[in-house]
Amino acid sequence: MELAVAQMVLARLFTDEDFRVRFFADPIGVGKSLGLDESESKRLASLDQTRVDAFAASLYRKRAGDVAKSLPLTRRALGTSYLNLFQRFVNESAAVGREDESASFADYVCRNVGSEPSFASWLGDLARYEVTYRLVSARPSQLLVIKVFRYPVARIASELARGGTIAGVRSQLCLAVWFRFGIGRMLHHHVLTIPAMRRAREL
Amino acid sequence: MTTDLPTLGVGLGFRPPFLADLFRNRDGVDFLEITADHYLDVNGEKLRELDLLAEHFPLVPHGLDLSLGSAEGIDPRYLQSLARLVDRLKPPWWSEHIAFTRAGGISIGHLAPLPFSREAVDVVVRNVEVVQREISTPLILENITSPLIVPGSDMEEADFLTEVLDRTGCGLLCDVTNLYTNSVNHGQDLDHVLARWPWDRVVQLHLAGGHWDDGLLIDSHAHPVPSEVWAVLDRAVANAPVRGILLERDENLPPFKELLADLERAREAGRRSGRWN
Repeated sequence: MELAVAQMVLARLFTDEDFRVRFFADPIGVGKSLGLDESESKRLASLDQTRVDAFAASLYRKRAGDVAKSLPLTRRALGTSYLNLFQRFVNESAAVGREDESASFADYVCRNVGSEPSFASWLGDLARYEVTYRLVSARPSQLLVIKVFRYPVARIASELARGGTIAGVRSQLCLAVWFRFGIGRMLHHHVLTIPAMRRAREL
Repeated sequence: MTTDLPTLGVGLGFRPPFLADLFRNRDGVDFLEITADHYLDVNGEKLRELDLLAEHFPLVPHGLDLSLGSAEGIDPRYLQSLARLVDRLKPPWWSEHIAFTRAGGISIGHLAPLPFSREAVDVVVRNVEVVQREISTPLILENITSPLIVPGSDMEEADFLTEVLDRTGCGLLCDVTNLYTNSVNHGQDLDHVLARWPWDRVVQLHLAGGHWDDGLLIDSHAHPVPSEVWAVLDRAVANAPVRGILLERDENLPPFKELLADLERAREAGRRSGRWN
């Protein structure tokens, strides 16, 4: 078997749980669908499945850890729910590997947890705020970014950064602005509440 | 050739959380290894961080994602970014792993093992030649740890490494923790492995601590270096023309003085074997 083919199968075994289960249950059938002959499939199936599972689990922990490092406040806000939510994200997304997954995870949080009663309603905003801050910081050529949030994200972020708990947060429209006075210059950041809009919503 | 490389002494894998401690204890750290991937195509604050480090320490870039073992070849854009970084830093050498991280359009996200086979040797040699055409700074190659032995292996790891190093002219970055971890996880006789290891090609050593998880020893860089790994390090320094020893610690960061104590212990090992004063 050519190394390129073996590596393609190994890469899927290491990163795709569904494929892994199917392959070890029926290596010849799955191998055939990939163009492997019977001996090639048997040779790959001689891998110790427990060790493959362990390697795959270490990859998964590394991905979850990398995202947690990139979004520490969102991670803190999620608490013990973080790993379950990350598992859902992995199961439902095609993203794999070393590429920075924090943006896609933040997007997943925004799209999925807002309507779920087990999660705080402001969690999606927090994830979007934190990932935006991170991305703008890492891109010195970005001169101006403006985002609107439904909750007072700066106050939530600052409270979490201090190790506090968040309670009783009410909806409050905010405008977050990140700007630089030139490429590579210092990043400035302000969050403005929008009282007029808040009043309008309260009416 | 690796015989011309300078002696660096003992160093640390740079991690931003201990930046302040590092500058307060500059005398205890002879060089730093930076994760190359964290500084590819960056500007602004990351470049300033890099320049600050370079002003005070010799820096050695350490790559993670070049995927020298990929049968489908090297990603040319990644290689060009790496070449720019190495050119900026002008280090005495730089390092990468003997592993693959990409295949069939999938970025695995970690170092995956190669079979110890002739075909894999050919692939690594071919890829290293491509890299050496772009980056003339000496490249040293690191042995990885893996819970798996990939089917198709027809030689021992030590023989595989020796052939790769002989054919590429690269030095070896011997990770003594990986060496020890593999021997434990694969039930190998450590003395047998050490006897076959290509010590004469070693330029630098890595050491770190790991932990046990479900019957496997994991190279997590999150715990103190165990006595068994220190013993391998002592043997490595006695046998190999080591020019640098580097401590890796990524998680559960201890008080900085504990890292300094480990560096001092490594420095003393080098002194005992006449690798430096």
